[in-house]
Amino acid sequence: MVFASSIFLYYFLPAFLAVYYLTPRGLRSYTLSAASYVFYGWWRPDFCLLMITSTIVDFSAGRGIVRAHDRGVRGKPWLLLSICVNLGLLAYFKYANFGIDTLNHLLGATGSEKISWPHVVLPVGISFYTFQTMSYTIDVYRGVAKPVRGFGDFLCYVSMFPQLVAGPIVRYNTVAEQLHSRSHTFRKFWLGILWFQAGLAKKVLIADVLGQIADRAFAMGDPSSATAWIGVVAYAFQIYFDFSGYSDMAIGLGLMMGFRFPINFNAPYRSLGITDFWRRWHISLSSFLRDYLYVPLGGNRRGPVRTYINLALTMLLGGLWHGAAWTFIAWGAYQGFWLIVERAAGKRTLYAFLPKPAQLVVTFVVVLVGWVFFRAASISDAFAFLGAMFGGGGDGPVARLEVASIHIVSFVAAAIVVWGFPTTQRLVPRATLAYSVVLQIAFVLSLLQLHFNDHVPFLYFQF
Amino acid sequence: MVAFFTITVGTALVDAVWPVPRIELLGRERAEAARMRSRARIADGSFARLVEHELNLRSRVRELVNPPYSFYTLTLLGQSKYDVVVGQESRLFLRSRVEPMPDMDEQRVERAAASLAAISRRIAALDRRFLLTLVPRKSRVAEPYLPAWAEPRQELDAVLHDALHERGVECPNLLTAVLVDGTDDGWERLGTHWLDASQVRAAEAVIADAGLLVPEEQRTTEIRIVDRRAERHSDLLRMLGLEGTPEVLEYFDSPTWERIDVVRRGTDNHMRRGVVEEGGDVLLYGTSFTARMRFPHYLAHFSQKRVRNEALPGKHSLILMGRSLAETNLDELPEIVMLELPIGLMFGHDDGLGVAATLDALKPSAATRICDIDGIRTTNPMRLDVRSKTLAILPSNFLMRPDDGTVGIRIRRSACDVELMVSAGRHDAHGYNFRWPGEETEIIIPIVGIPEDRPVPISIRTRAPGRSTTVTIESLELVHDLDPDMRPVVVTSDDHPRYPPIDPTKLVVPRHAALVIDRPDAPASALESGHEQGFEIRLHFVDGAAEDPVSATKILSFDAPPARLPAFISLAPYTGRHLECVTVRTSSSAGENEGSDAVWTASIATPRR
Repeated sequence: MVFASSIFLYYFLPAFLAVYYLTPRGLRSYTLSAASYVFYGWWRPDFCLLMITSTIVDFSAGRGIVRAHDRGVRGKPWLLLSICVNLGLLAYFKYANFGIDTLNHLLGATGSEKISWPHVVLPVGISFYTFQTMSYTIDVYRGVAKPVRGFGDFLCYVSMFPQLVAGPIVRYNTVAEQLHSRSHTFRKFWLGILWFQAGLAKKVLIADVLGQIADRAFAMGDPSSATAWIGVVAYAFQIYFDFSGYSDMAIGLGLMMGFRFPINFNAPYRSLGITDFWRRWHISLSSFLRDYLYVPLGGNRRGPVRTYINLALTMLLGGLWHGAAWTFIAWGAYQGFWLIVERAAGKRTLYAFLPKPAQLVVTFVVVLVGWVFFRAASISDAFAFLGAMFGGGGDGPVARLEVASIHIVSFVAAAIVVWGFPTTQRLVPRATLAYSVVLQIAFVLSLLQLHFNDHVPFLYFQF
Repeated sequence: MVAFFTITVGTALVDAVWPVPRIELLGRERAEAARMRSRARIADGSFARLVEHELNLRSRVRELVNPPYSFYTLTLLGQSKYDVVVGQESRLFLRSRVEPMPDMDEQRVERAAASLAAISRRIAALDRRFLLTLVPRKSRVAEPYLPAWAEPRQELDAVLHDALHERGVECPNLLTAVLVDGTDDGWERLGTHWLDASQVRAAEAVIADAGLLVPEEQRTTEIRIVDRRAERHSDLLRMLGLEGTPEVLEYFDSPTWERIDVVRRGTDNHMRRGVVEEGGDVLLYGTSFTARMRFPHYLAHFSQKRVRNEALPGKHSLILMGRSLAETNLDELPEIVMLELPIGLMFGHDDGLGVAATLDALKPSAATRICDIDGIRTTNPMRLDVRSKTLAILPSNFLMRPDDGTVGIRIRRSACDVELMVSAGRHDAHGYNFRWPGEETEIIIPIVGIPEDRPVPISIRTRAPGRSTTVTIESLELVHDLDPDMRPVVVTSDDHPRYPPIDPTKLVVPRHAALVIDRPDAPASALESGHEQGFEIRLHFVDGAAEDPVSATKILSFDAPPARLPAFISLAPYTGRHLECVTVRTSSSAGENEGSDAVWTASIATPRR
């Protein structure tokens, strides 16, 4: 089920909220878990088996680690079990096809017989919930988190539908207390609705509309330079509004149920460098990678060279996390390269001498180039598209993009929200009357647009 | 908060209490809808999708708010639905028909033609006629009004017609006929379909081309313009979420169109018994270009034959034809079987599926050869679960492909009552996935569209997670449809001289040819003795100019002779080369040629035309 669909908005959500608030407080987490499994299994019930497996393994591993701690040992085998099972699930369901295809490509080049392999379907959200469950066992192992009180709480933590399939990656520490004692207030509920409406509007009124332009540009074999630039800017807005819209909806739904989830975006296109960008973009992932990968690798504590290697490795794996394709690895490498460059340059960054608006533009262009790798179907397509952007454009006219007034309106709205408007996390808590009214209008328009276009899946579902 | 719940809960309540009435389907459409509902499963998500589809379809709120919202977004913001393209002078086109289709190329067109030709031959073998009506594409009819960027590859339409004519399929080119006064006036401006005027012209052209045109004075019916009305029911307009209100029609500058009926001569009464539900002289399968149109009536009018209309809206007319023929006693088929197929739908996977279903339903003709595929890798019985098990991998350029006469791969199994999935080809744009219903013991996988330059794995699995079953695969066969007049090339055995006396005219390997290897003097059991270990076929070519010939030999080596005969080997890589002779060599554990006194025959087969 997806948030931006009739079945969720008109049937599932109202019914769930009614049942949730009719349930005694002590049992609400169970109601949420049950609803989450319905939500998750709606299109593919079999994938629930994977999630419950991951849940049981990590709950048991957490218990095992606690018992080991009680005996004065660290319980490393339990940690390894958790990591192996979760990464094993990810490896099989997310990366097996890619690995076999790559191997077959090599075998084909050497004239050897290729390996026959059935296509494995990627379960939605597996990248998110496996990371969440791993964060629990790792934190318990490190002693920075208390073990969960009961299986019900853990079941709820792993499965809660607001952030289940596309984040933000909520660490156990963040919601541990809330799982068994959270407040349900009228104000929280109201703010939750506003967050949700803001997210839906971002997704439906901006991301989906500009996605049409991006799709057409990237599908073009020979875009002209102007076409390519319009296309990549449209994609930059699409991916930001799509993903941050989803995160806003998740935060809003969480608030409706009394949870406070961490923010996932903080005006990333206002960054003044790539390092700054990664402090603002997909914050839950970048902090996860920092705390569970970069720091354990040694972080910046072992000299500059090792720091650069750690940065590169972290970003490569971050790229690979987004998808099993060379384009994502290239995107990760590209991001890693810029992080290394900025760290090496220190305060004397390549563009530090520029005025701030120029720094912002340069950073945005650097990010745009990265999005080309992220969006292109292959590395060769990415380079062809970059070639078109930087002068080697073909004949594909801008007319092929079919830019209509609605796209121009969405472009302008996107630019205003990105560069000229306070962020959702600043606006919603204030909840002025004017802002609330604007959101209600946007909500109605979003629903009309949904009726008009049916739903378009969220981009981050595929990761 | 009040607004939020008023809108969400209110919508749910209105839709639940006052839903849009279900459309009353009739006949085959009703059966098809029932079939879809009965096949919906929770396990694979098809039930969930069906529920969502029904909710959207029957949403009263959606019905009320969509038209005005769509109209204002279109007029104020220039937004149309993604699937619909607004062309010049407000003509509407389906996006998928005007954008370049990556799979659409000449090879694909040839394959589609070969498949239709195979159907035509099978029907001819039943002493019936097969008439094909290829409906021109709107992008061709209304070409001047396409958006500037459109690339519908119109040139392939001519390639298709040529390929069909070359193969003897009766199929007139209707483009000229449907261009009323050279314009697109015979087509819906705001829809994909043809109007009555074009249907009349097309029907006349089809019937005339088939030599069935009854002179006007001998007809008991006549056609008459009975109404002039504005266009209101166009599908692309509905896809845009719009109704044919005067305001909308004015915006699109939609003209009136003529409704043309068939009436009994000299009266105002409608034609009776021209289009029938049972029996009939013409059995007509088709799509939405036929199902809710008067095209069948016009066919009946011009031919004065009774037309049984089995058309169904949607893009599976070939599948429908296959399914319907499977339920029909072939001896009772009417004298003419007619298929209406829009050119724009010719190149999808569904059509490949339909070809297979149809050929299967029509049963192999005398000219059809079935041969086993060697190399079933799985031992029987085998335990299946949701993970695929590979049955066989057809190497690149293995045997023949559709344009060479191969139409499908037939798999037979013992009854097991569990629905299976069969995959052919890689899981990419060129691969197929097929449902194999539990009650059916055989399935034909079409190989239309599977590229020949890569290995084709055939694999099988159960559909539902957590369900495993035991299956016995009885056979895995290639279904060919070859010319029975094989041209003998050479007869050799291992100890014959290398250059036996053959036709002094060197043979040029024809297009789409296959080498047929046989051993007529040996029973099949002798081939399976395991006595012979090596098997080699040498193709001796003479290339270069006649005065300065250059000999070349291509050696095809195999571990063992073919287990089943005749065996087919594609000669596609050698098309156009001068084949001088073929030698077949075997070797055994006792040494080369020893114990191989059998005579092998090698001949060339070409696809039937």
